[in-house]
Amino acid sequence: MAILWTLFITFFHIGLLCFGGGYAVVQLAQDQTVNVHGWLTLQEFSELLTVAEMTPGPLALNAASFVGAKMAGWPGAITATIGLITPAWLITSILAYLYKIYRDSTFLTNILQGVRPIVLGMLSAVVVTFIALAFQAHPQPKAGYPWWEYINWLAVPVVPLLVWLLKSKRLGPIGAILLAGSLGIVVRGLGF
Amino acid sequence: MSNPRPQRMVDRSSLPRWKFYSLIFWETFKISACTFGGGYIIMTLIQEIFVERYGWLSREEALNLMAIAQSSPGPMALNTASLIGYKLGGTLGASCAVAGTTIPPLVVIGVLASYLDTLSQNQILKNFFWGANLAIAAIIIEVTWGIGQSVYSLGGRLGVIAGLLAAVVIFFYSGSTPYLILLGGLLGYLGYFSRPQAKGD
Repeated sequence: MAILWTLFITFFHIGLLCFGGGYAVVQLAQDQTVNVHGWLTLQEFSELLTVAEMTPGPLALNAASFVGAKMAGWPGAITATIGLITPAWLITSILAYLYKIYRDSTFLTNILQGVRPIVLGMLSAVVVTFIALAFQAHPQPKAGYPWWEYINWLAVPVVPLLVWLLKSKRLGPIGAILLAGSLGIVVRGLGF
Repeated sequence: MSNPRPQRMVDRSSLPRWKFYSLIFWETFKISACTFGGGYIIMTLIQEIFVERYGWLSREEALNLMAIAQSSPGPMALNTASLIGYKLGGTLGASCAVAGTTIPPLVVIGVLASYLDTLSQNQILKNFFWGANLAIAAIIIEVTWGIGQSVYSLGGRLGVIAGLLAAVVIFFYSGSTPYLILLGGLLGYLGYFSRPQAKGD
């Protein structure tokens, strides 16, 4: 029982204090689980990140379920997840309510006018990260190879093609992931 | 706004109440269950489906809600789901969206927790993710392009330039997002980002 309460409090704390999402959560989670509580070693934590990236869903939720499951099975996973989402849920509910009331006020319209470009900025930064991820050869060869060995040439036709399919054809995002994933299995399976 | 994707809008008023709320749950559930690549992708897909496919939310409103989601603590995908759910269907809508976003990763990890080490070594899965990365890049490019268009139509060239500057800063200092939000909010409050049409007439 005690471990469940600690899990809840720890992930509540993480959910309440992390701003900026994603990797901000990860840093805080690492600090709490590795340094403060000693639930995981640093090695285990980095394995957890690999796993969290390979499973669907938001990274922070994956990390919470994973740590919770490791510490106390199903009850642990559920408790850690609830701990993580509770502050976000409460705060966003209040904000959603305030937005409903004040959305037409000059005060809020002006502020949002200034914050909206930051959303674009954040997403554009993510775009750069994911383009880099898609276009680099994986695994990366060691130093000393010619430059073209470092590039994933399959991405050059496939990424623009997928963008086009998403934009002009009725390919949904889930379809795109399944399509490209199957392509990965076929191409790599053939030993490319 | 230009939107070349074929529309298949769903008329809200023709839906029974339970159907409306279960759609909020089901759509967020599907996105959370099938999307790799983390919260940013999920956040953009959740807003996109309710804007483009269902037509229940204007692009401006979705962008506002993402801006608010980004300004509050917690996982961004979850914040966005909760805010959009609330906007669509009040507290119950928010609960449906939060449950839809939360349950898939919880179940997947809970079930697989003890096999994850073996699974992450599986060559076929590795190949799948290697390919899926291409789709994730394509998805985020497509969605961000749409969001860039919205920012342009709402905030003009200034908005887009501010966004790109913010992108450079965030790319090199990922911890800077909260400060940029404060700065953007302050400049907006002081009226530096007033709408193009408000300036004109």
